Amino acid sequence: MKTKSLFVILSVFSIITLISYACGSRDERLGKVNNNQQPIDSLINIGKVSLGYGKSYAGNVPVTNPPKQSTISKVTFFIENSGSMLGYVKKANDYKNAIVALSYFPEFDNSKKEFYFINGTSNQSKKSNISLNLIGSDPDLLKDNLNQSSFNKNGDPRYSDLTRMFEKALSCAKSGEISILVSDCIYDVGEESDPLTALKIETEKTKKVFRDRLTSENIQTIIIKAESQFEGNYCFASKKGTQNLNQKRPYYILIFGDSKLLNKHFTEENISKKIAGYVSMARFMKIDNIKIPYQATNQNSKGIFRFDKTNKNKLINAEKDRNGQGFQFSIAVDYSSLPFPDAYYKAKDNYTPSGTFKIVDIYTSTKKIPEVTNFNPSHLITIHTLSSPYGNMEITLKYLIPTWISETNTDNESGIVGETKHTFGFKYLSDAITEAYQYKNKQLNISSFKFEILK
Amino acid sequence: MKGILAAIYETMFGLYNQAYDLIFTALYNDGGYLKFVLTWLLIPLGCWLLFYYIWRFPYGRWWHWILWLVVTVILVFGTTWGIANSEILASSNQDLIDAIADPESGYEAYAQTLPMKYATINSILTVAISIIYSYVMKQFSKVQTHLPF
Repeated sequence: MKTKSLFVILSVFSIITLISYACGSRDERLGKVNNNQQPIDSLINIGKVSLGYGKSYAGNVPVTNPPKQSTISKVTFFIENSGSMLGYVKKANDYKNAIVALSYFPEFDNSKKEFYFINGTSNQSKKSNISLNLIGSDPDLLKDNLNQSSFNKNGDPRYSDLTRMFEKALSCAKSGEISILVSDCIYDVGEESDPLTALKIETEKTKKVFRDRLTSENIQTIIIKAESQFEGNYCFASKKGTQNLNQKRPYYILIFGDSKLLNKHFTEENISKKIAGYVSMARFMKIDNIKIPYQATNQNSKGIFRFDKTNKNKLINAEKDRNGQGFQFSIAVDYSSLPFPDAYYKAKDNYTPSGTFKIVDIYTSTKKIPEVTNFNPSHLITIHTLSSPYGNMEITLKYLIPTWISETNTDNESGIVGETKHTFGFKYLSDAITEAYQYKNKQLNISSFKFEILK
Repeated sequence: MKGILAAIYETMFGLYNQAYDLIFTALYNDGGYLKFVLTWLLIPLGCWLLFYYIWRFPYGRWWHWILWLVVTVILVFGTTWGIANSEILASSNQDLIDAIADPESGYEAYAQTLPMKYATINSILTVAISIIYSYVMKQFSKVQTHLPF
């Protein structure tokens, strides 16, 4: 009797449990069917509900605003046609090829184009004026005018005024419009008794022109250094006179425009392939409010830790490796919104890790990192310490001007024969632009990645 | 609250593996840990209520109690295994689905070991909570006042 009643109770209970579990499973299955019918909703919910997925940024999750305009509506070319540029257009060479290639840039296919020659000076004592001559809107017309005859007959080729050229070019860069200035970037201070002082004064004016423009808009400046055969008279900037040259000489293509627009259309890879005689390039841009998605990951880790459930950049229960290999983890970052070349991100010197942490490796991950769910990492930065890892840890990506900028400068024009790499006074120009941007920049580094490591 | 529940399995029983954080985050976010805890709290509660207050047989022996404990553990083990399987291997979390589907991630092999681990942990917890429930319920039972001991 007692065994029988025990079996009855057991059987009833088992049946109830099985039925309730089966009903639950069915509900879950139905729920999954509904989820499958609305995949977009469920994807959205993953982002909304899962707290851990939205914390890749150290601070608040940023709202990515789409660029105001993703296409270039208009491009204005300013080709310096002062006497010092004549040597570039005597014969077919890389200078001509580069400008023609630039005028036919695929990114400009649907853009309105205007081509101008620019020369002359606003200097009262030189009895000249800034001269802006419209060549036309057809790249073929520009191509036909890239010769010494056209350079000589437009405006006042005796002088050039870099500051005013920048002013003109910068004023044409607004919203979806960009401007391109092609120049040898040599300040025209030839008749001054102290050319270097005159250069400094002139660059102060340049600085102000940039500052004024940067106040109202987020204008980026790209300087492309290129070289071409130069066959003609080199006009000394620091003294009177000329020197006949038949050699390679550098010249510069400066592109001005909205930062997002230039980041999208003018990557180094894109430019270097299309500009004949391309040497290097540098970007000057306002770097405030740049948000780079990042997240701590387990990749290449040493020691143990747990990711905090609500903030993946907080590592808790952290312990160094038991075999004395220290503490190590990797940071997944997405640099896809930045315009710098890959080498820039992979250079350890471009980072400053805090405390005792050191960068072990920076690489592009070939496989998907499952724990990084709300962005696609472009790079992984592995950091390591042998000391105590605890506390706040920060690693910054520095904003550095490429070294070619300073290496291009020379203050001496006497050895111009055979000089194919340097430009007189280029440092003053680059410093002026750099300082103008630094003055406007609210942050010194491109981005900071912050972590908290707790016991 | 979710943090405390997660800590039972991740810290106390050391089930957390930083290499597969996505699984533990999904369990945390989707309420998996809450379901695990409710399983070893409520199923034994139901079982022992039946044992002490519904089963009227007055000559129950200690092995009856042991048999009931085994049944309770089996129920909890099976239910936990089912929940873990559903929350991890049949999860609706797209990131976890992708990770499990990616053969290079190693998630699938690791995920398949987890339902058994969670079921085992819950079985241990069931034994502990069953003893507690028994000692409390026997005080108020009219028939099984002498069980387990």
